[in-house]
Amino acid sequence: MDQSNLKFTKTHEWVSVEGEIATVGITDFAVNQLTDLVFIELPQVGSTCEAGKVFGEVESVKAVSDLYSPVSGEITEVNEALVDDQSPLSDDPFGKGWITKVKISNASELEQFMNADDYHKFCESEAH
Amino acid sequence: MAVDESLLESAASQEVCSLRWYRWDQPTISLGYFQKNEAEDQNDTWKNLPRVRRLSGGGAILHHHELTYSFAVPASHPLSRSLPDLYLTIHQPLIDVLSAHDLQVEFRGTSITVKSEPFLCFGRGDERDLVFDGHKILGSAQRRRRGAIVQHGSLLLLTSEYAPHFPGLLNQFGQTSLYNETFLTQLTEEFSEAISRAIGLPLQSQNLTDEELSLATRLEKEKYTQVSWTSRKK
Repeated sequence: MDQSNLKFTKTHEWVSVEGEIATVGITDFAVNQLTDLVFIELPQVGSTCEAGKVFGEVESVKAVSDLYSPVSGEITEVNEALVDDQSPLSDDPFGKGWITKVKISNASELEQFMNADDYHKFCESEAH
Repeated sequence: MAVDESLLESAASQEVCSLRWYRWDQPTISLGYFQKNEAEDQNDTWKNLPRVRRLSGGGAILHHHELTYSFAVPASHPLSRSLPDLYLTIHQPLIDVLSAHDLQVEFRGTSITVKSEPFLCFGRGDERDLVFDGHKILGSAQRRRRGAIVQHGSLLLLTSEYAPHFPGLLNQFGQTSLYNETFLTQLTEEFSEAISRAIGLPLQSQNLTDEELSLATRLEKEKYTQVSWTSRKK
């Protein structure tokens, strides 16, 4: 996926917005930090999420990490295929590795996110 | 478990780095966060033992004749940047201290991956485990929250009658008489000092703060002693 259309958070989630629906995933930087993923727990469709709050969990190398929702709204879809096979998260994090689709309730939350260039600079600073 | 989560919160919100050593007042199974707590996972030898669910990943630990540690590190500390490296950072000083007591253990070095992982952690193989003669004697697991990490692990000192197929470290060296309060206290002090040196932070012995104790008490009551937590479904 062309990352120039994505918005990024400091907690390494990405967001792609079409109309009132935001597609959410975690970035390649996050996946590389997590290393081999073995479990993912997804939110229920119909539930609500809140920006900055936990919406899911992943396990890798015996480490459980929280996933933080970048936006507030209602979960309209989740990528159920990831429950049985987490490989798209690492193989195609910006495409088949999407995690949730959210009907956003507060579009102004999108204004604080980074574009791809700024996010990559942020990752470089994190790595050092 | 409640105290470990409370220390993770202190790391996440107060930037506190902590190291804790503890033992269990009765043989207990601690389940990994995503593990099922169902009948098919039961085994005649340990099925009646009490169970608690951890907030960290990995397989179940049978806490018996062992030492448990937890180490919490805030997001601002460089150690929080790499989950795999944190295992190595904490495990290496343990190798060094044990070696000074002529108990030579090493990293496993290679991970063993099978489609259906054994229920007990000590039946699983991660490259960062500590082993002697191929037998796992220490395994650790982690939970990350808001960038902070708590890592806890179990050092199997004596073979447990509930899992006799996992030999304890002291049994393998013919040193079972070392399993006494004096030696265990000495070990934990030496481990703490070695870890302190390894991470470059000074040791300061202290009790839980009132805030940490209050949170741990609430978590114990509302979470860790609840069947809904121990038997949580994925």
